[in-house]
Amino acid sequence: MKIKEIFTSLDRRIIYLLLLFAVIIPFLFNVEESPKTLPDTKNVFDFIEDTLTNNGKALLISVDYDPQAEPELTPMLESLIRHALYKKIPLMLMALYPQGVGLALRSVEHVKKEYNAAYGRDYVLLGWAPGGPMVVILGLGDSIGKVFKTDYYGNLVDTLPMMKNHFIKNLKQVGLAISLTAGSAYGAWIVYAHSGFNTPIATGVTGVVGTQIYPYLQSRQLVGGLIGLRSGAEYERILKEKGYSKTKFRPASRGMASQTFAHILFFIFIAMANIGLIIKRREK
Amino acid sequence: MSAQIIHTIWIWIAAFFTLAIFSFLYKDNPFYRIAEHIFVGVSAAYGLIITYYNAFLPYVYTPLIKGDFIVIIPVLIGLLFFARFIPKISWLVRIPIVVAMGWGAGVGLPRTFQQNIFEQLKASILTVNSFPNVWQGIFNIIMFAGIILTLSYFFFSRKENNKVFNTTSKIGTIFIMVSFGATFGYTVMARVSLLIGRILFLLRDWLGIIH
Repeated sequence: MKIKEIFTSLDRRIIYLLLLFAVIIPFLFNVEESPKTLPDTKNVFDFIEDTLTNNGKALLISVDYDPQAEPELTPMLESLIRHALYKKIPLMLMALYPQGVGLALRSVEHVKKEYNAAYGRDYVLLGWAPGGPMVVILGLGDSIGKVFKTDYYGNLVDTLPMMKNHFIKNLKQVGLAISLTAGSAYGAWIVYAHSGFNTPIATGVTGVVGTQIYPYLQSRQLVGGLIGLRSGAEYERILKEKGYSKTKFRPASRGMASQTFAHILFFIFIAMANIGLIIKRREK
Repeated sequence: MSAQIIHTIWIWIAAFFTLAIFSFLYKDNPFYRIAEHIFVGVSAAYGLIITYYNAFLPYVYTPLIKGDFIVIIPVLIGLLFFARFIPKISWLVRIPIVVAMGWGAGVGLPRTFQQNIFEQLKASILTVNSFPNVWQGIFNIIMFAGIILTLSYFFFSRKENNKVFNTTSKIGTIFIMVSFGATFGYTVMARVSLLIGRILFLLRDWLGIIH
């Protein structure tokens, strides 16, 4: 088989096999990559670090994704939970869609042991409320206790120590709302929470949605944005450098090493295909 | 059966279905089709059960048991969606649609305009504040030019021989291509991330090779 034929008609199964190796090998050799922190990631960190710590308001994380987006968004979620619990910032977790509740529960259960965090005192899992983003977010602006009468475990939300001690009644006591989403849920938070109640909004999105949030970052309707696995690795790096996180396994940082290997492979494939095409054209 | 054994069984089931789905990359086969059908069925059933426990029980059943009969009104309006299946009264489906659309548009439109159009327009306008330093100023000018040039590409009612529009729309396509390139790059990263997620599950949770 001639080189041009190999370059232009490589069997897709060989491509998949090479991609599999590119992803697996960095994991087997414990390779970790911590990319340089981009400004949009740093803005989210700084807002939680400085503004929320100073004004004493709560951090609300809305887990608006389903298991399909877990590899990209769960590392962000766990890093944000770590940051809030370390800084003793009142943390509320909720979901605009039912599937998000289980993911939020699993992440907070996994992380809370590192910080001896207690349910009801340090964090609250509000759960999911029906009605869709518009109804729920507008309702939260009026009263959190009316939208979520009971939390995930069936406790009356208004009676939980964290809610009482920090006088958390509605979105006015929320210093930052972060929507983690694989779709456009961050848009609902901007439209209803930011516009209606001046709540600062940030978001964490999958790579596919990444470019869509830039107009809102540029207009400062979002205080910051996390995009894909890379931002997750950036956040893990900041927490590690600051000494906020003691976990040895950082999924996004480990995944970014595989990501780099896979991208190098893509570069090679694209170059091969183009070289093959040029050779074919010249022969004609 | 202990919780650990149950957990292990579920891990093995998840690993089986992961490998069954990946087997499609070689070629279509019965394992892939079994996994695909079970996934669709489980997803539908999961959605139904979640809605039953999180919506029907707390917001319909419990209030009715407690004597809060006002919930009957929205429930009846919602049930009219099923009128679609009865030809004689199928027109009744318009009522819940009208209620949802009217309420949604009334509440949502002003805020959507405010945040998605007016705020974006404000952020696009060049003012003295757009030039805090040289680089930021250059960036803002490029962004402003990008908006105008890209918009000119979508001005379809112009004449074909309009040289000004032909030039600006050609430059506009460069901005559009840059945007597509960035989107494609992010999409590749997202798709590889999905593979990484599954590989991580197989190596860590199933095989226990990495810790």
